[in-house]
Amino acid sequence: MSLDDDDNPSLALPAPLLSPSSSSSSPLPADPATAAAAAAATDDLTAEDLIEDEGAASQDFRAFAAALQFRKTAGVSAQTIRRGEKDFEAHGTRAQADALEQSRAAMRDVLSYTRVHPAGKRGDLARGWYFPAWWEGYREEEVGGEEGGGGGGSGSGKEGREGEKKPFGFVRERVVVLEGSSVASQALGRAVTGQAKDRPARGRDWLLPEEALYLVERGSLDLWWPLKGLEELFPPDGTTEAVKEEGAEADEVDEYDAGFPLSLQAAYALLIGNDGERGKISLQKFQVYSNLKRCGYNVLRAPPTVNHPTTKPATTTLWQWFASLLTRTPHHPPYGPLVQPGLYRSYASIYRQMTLLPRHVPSATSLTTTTQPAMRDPFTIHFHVWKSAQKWSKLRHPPPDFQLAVVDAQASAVPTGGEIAALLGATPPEPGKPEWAGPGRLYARLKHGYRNVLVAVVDHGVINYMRFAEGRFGAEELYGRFDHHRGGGGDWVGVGLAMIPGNVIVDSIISYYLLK
Amino acid sequence: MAETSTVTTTPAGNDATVIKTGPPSGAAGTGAPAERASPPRPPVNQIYALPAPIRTFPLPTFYPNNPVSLLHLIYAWLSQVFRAPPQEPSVVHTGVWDPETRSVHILDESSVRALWEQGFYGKGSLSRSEPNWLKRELARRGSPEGKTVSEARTELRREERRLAKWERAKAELEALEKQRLAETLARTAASETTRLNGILSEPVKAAEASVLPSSVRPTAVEPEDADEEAAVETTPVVEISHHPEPAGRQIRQEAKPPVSPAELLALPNSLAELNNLLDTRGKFHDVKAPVGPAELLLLPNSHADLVLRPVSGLAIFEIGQTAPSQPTAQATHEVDGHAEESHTRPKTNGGINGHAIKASASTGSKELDGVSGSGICPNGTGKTPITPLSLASDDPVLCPSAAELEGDLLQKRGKSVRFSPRVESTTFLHSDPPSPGLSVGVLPKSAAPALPNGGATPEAASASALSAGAPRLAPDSATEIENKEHFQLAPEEAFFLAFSLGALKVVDPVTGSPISTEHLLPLFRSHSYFTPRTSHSGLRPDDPFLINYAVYHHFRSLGWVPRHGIKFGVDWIIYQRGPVFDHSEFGIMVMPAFSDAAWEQHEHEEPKRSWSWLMGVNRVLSHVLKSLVLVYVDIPPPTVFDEEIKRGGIAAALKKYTIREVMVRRFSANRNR
Repeated sequence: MSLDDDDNPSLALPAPLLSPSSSSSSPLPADPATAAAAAAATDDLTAEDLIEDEGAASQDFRAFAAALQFRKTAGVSAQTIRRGEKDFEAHGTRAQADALEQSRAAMRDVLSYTRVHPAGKRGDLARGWYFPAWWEGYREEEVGGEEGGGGGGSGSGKEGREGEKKPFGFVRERVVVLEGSSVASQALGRAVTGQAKDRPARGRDWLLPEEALYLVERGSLDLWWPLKGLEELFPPDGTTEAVKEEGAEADEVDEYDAGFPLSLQAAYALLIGNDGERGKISLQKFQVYSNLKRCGYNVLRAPPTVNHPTTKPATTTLWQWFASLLTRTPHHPPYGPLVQPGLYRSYASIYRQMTLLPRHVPSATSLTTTTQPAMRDPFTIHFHVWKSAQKWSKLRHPPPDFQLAVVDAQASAVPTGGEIAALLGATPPEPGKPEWAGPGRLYARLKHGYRNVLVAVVDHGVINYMRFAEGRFGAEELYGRFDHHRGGGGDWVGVGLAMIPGNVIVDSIISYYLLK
Repeated sequence: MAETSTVTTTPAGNDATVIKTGPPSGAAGTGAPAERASPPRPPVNQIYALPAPIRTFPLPTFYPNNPVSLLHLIYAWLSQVFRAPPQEPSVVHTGVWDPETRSVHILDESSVRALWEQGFYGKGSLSRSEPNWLKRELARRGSPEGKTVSEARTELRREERRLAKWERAKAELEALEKQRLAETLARTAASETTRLNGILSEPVKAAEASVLPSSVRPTAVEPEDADEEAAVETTPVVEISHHPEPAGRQIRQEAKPPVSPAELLALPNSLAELNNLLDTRGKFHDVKAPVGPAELLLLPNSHADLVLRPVSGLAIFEIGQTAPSQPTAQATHEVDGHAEESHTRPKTNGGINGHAIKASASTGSKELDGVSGSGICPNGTGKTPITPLSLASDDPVLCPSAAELEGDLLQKRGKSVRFSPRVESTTFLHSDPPSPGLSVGVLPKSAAPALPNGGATPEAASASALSAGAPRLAPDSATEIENKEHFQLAPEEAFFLAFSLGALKVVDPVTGSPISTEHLLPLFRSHSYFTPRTSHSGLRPDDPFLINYAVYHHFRSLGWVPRHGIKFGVDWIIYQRGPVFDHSEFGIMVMPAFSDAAWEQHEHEEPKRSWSWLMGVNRVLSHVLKSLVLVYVDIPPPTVFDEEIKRGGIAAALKKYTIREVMVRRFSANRNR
């Protein structure tokens, strides 16, 4: 559950503010002055501000408590938490005092709710062992990057035998091995396939540092520091029964022979590190990861990008060059006027003469052409993010919904032109909905952009997601409409079978004679 | 509309607009100004028909199933061939370069209109954007023309919004007071019963008092306070301060839901009195000094209420008795001294005096209509001639005029203290029109916050303005008003008009000789630095002017209408058709980019924008419902730039600037899953 205050208070249903006993009244701002001030403060805001305004409304713990009472054991989703109206000052009605007291009581109830972690074998709580060096020498084929979706290279280098492609596995980074399978291992971790039969811990799920830490923080994973080797803890296949027996014994006899449990602090110390450290993750990235997971997204590390050579650009540029040769040959006098004095029949012809600066028209290949700079940290795609609603498994999933980069607000600045171009170039085109065509949805098209990327800006733990999208102003020539809403033919479109603008006829006649 | 008529009218319409707006060239140009001055204005689509200061002459459409249209097409074409219209742009406007303001001034009236109406270039120096100072001035002097000015409309809209807020606040307050009253009554009823039962004990009351919320409790202290003040001041106050009790009783007896704001204000006091009545015997509640803000706010209020209560209680509650003129008169005499009052509470009175008096003046002048009129009628007549404007202007030196005011007026001034959160609204612009329709935009600004002034509803305020303002400022349309406003083009706009369209000629302010585009460019470039750089020495491809012009030209040539966006915290805002038609949807931040490797050999500073800068810009823009666009301008290195300039002028050099737009939006993780 998330108590994030990012929810839209204006969309949420208003909470039942009052107890039934005092239903006739509502808590209102006390003083006329404060009422007016509050009204002034809120009314200058627009709907979008309310959407954007974080913390404008506080949480209504009463609704939360009510939800808890209905289903004591079931988890409470963020949807059930509604916000109350904010009173800015005590205004001395008993109704207000009652509401406040009720809310306090509810908050007390919520906070005193006992969370129970079911013990190991049955379900939630799994045990993980910290083996930082096990995969250190592992070489993973880096074939990532094709079909920008979930596809990277093969996780194990054995895709020929497996017959299916698996997302890139980051095996070298995996440091925690899960004992047994739990709920968590459905979406997290990765079994490293293709191991020899006699390797220990074959088929076990290995967790990335952020996954392990997220689970520890969530209370679903017991992280242990091993005192024995991996071979002893997870003997190779064939002795699985022995393992089971041993495990059963360990519960009874002394499981602290094998290792000892680690605290949350220890988990942080072991798993949080600097960028580039193997088996660790930077704090910012972990914060973003855990925030997204808690919000219900599915998050995977983005496979390393391979700058694949593009074959098309040469031909397309050549074609574009030809096209430009054919269509656009206005002579531009050095110091203007760009629009030659003369008689004009349409504004399109005037505006075409003014076209001077090269426009950026996004296309599927435009970004990966020629001098595309490579992504540089921190402006690289770090995570692939999927919305929670989709059918998703850790191995088979559709292309990601969002591509995410994580930056530190203090250590980085707003991306420069090259950085943002490279970042956008690494994302697949996503032109938006097809029904946005036409002049009516111009703004929707423009705002959506052609490609987009999310940048999570982490400022000392406060995460702000920004969406950068490739602008497509160059593809929208507004001046095409100047002739339409002035021309006389508009009324006849529905009536006439065919119509030819007079400009076209005259132009074609003139050009015919000129050519002759 | 038949196609023939369309066809014929389109060029004619163009002619008409151009003739109207262009300089007096030709015979038909004379009728134009008269036409524009007439009150019924043509629709905006007609005024702003041209997207650029260039006319087009579209030929009629040919419909194969309608052979007549071919004839028409041929006729139109032939007529254009034989009687060719003048070459476009047919009008070259003249602007004067003004180095001090770094803008190009347009002095010719018809050029001003043309540039504004055909593409929304420039801005009036005394206006928001469209040059309409003259109109506003005319409206201020009583001419009916100024009402359509956009500034006035905005003012009107703001006023409506303010009124709506006021209404809402009032409704909330009423509901709150109703609740409070109901609870008090319930509590008194409960305590009465307990007392009757003979189990009246101190703990019960103590609990009651502690239950009593903080904002109400201080009012319970007020009798002592009032007495102290009375000791300081003159004695009559003491007499008056005894009046509250009957009023409080009345309220209790009537038990009628309070409706008007003044009643509501009267209520807390009556509540306090209810408590007082209950507590008189055992004075156990601690008399502590008012410290909290709410208490401090309540203090002057209670004093004024003590003075006022007989009046307000009767007049506003519509109990139907005659107005108690006796106490009012007393109050008048004693508060006339005014100085003592102002020095006892300088903090609250100081800034807001003008306010209160004006507001209450308007109440008073509204003697014949309204509920409170019957009560205040005899007092109100005397102060109608006092104009709100004059009062507001001499805020600190209030005394002489205040002395003329009647008693209820001064009593009410005390009440309005807590309800004027913005003192700056007491300042009035001289351009603010006093005419009735617009005075709504001015006066209730003070009346609206002044909730406590019982009858000072906005209608009343406007009505009073009508009566007060009209005789003072007679419409002096006879006198000719000199237009003090000039029209200015930003360098980017001027250069676009001169360089791209050829529709502007910039002349030197000293010699009056036209500056060629070739010389205009270094002029603008050098003036884009502060302390203008001398030409050819410090000019670089990343001049602010060149970067901004590249962006300007980019969007102009696509058909957008860019205007300076400093008001929204961005470099440019772009309109789809123009400020008259739509709100701009995008705010543009120009981001210079130096991606070319050759830049490394040249000294340049790539601006480092912090993330908080971006969030701030985005936050401000989203508050005005615009979305942020970062426009990266990739600047060619100096070698390339110089080479291109030599080869093909600025036209070739500009082709080396590449523009990339990046749309920026905040992403909420909670709303996208």
